[in-house]
Amino acid sequence: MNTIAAMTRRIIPAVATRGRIIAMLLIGAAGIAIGVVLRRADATTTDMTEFAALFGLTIFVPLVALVISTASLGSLVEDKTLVYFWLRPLGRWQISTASLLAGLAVLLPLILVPMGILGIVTGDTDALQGILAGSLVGLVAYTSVFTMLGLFTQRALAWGLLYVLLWEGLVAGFSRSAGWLAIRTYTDGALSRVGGSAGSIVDPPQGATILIVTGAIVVTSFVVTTWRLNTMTVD
Amino acid sequence: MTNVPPPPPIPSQVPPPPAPHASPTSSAYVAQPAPPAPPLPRQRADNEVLAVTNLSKWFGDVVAVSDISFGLGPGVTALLGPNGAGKSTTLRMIAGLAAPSQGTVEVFGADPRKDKDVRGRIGIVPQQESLFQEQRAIEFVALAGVLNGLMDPTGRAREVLEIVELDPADTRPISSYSKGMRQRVKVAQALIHKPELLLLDEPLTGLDPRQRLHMTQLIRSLGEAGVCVVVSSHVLDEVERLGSRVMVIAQGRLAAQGDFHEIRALMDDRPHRIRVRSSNARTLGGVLLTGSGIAGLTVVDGESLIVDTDDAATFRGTIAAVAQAADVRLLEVQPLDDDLESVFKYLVGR
Repeated sequence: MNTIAAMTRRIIPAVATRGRIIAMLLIGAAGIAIGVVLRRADATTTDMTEFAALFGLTIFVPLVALVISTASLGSLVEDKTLVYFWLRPLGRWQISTASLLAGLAVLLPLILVPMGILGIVTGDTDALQGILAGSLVGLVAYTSVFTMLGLFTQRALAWGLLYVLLWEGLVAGFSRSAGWLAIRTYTDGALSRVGGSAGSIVDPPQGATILIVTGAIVVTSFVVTTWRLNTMTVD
Repeated sequence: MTNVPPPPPIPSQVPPPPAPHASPTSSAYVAQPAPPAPPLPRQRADNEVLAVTNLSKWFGDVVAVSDISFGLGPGVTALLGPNGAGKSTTLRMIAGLAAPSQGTVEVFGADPRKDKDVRGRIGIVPQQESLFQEQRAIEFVALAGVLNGLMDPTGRAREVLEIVELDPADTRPISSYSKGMRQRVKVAQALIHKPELLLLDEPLTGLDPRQRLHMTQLIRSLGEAGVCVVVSSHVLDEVERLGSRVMVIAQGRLAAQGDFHEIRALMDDRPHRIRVRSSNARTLGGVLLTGSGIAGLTVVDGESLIVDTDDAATFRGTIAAVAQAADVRLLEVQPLDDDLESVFKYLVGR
């Protein structure tokens, strides 16, 4: 555990650069500001929750997770410092774990605080809990997927953005079957199940399904990341 | 680390033929990947640390390393070759950082890419300068100690930083360090766990003359202490100071190997091309052709002639007297192929 903690502490500052943090906070603040304006314009709780689902869970959470998580291992590959972890007597899974933990540690406050404020702005406790539940599902699932993506390509941001915008944002919204393969379905599902609101989807998945799928995404991403670390060429 | 007897001499090896369809280029062969070759029988020494067998690496159509085999025990060995010869690729495959396209690497009998315990016995100084820039040197080196499972990583980090003549109490981040200081930080992290196999990719780069001397002495002492040290370099003088065994790698192939003096002699014994400028090239050329040791001679113009000789040392020692006897004023004697690139080309082409 000592080694994982040491690597996690090392990755965090590489991921949480000042520029990234400020940019993400600004996006979060913009969302909150829009929420406040909507609230003052007498928007209903349902309207507010739908805004939280649309802006928060569909755009903000995946975008922030993308920017931070792809850098967890991606920045080490890019600046060629991965060698200083890779060539140690460690299991590759330990590097995967450290990178995942580093991403989660940075993203937890970066996502949950703005989304929590957005939930408070709705003025409804159930909505607040739903928004936080959806954010938490998105945080864990997106972090896992994007950490893995950062190890596969140096253009992870571009590919990740395409995935978020095209698949999660567009295709999954139009096709119900494709929706089952989108993380957004489960973040909205969590919002709906916990918050008692439909969010942006009709007939959300069951709570158990949300937990199982989220777990499967985390485990699959973790296994693939570890496999990639085992087989890749390290510069 | 224990003292061990000096390693047995490495039997000289005939360089393997180039891969089928290969044609030489300036830095590598451009070829289709060769079909797997049967392993060459190679006798292994008892204290062998590293065994490389029929190792090849290609990137698409470019063959970076072509079918090299060798074994190393304790002591210093230099991988000598021009830039782009395949030295770094070979070192990276030995460390397990890159998988061979063909052939095997065994460190202490195991594959370093698969066996994490073996990785704990390897130290590497990679060529790239990148480090964790915002960390202090002591933090960076201590992290290496933590990841290697040391009981007192910070204490050991202080020791190795002092060994490479860096101040462990320095509070500046690594990003403020000079190239030479960063190089020494890299060496310190590679030494922290007392590796039995130490891989140094151009370790003297960026060091000032005094630091070069210190680093050279450190490398020699590690070799004498029983560590198997593999140093890559493209500078012949550096290798000479290491007093090491030498493996010459050129165009991805093992061109020659042996004691430094053998390699030096091999380089000196090759045919040399020398340009001689004098007051009368035709007269001087005629006199030279009557002597021995001249393999070829071309008169370029009234002043210049180019001589091919098998014995450059004798030629250089006698040319002045020959010119004087012929009543020709000698203006300049300039070797045309004394750079390492020419030497490597010669060794590969033998």
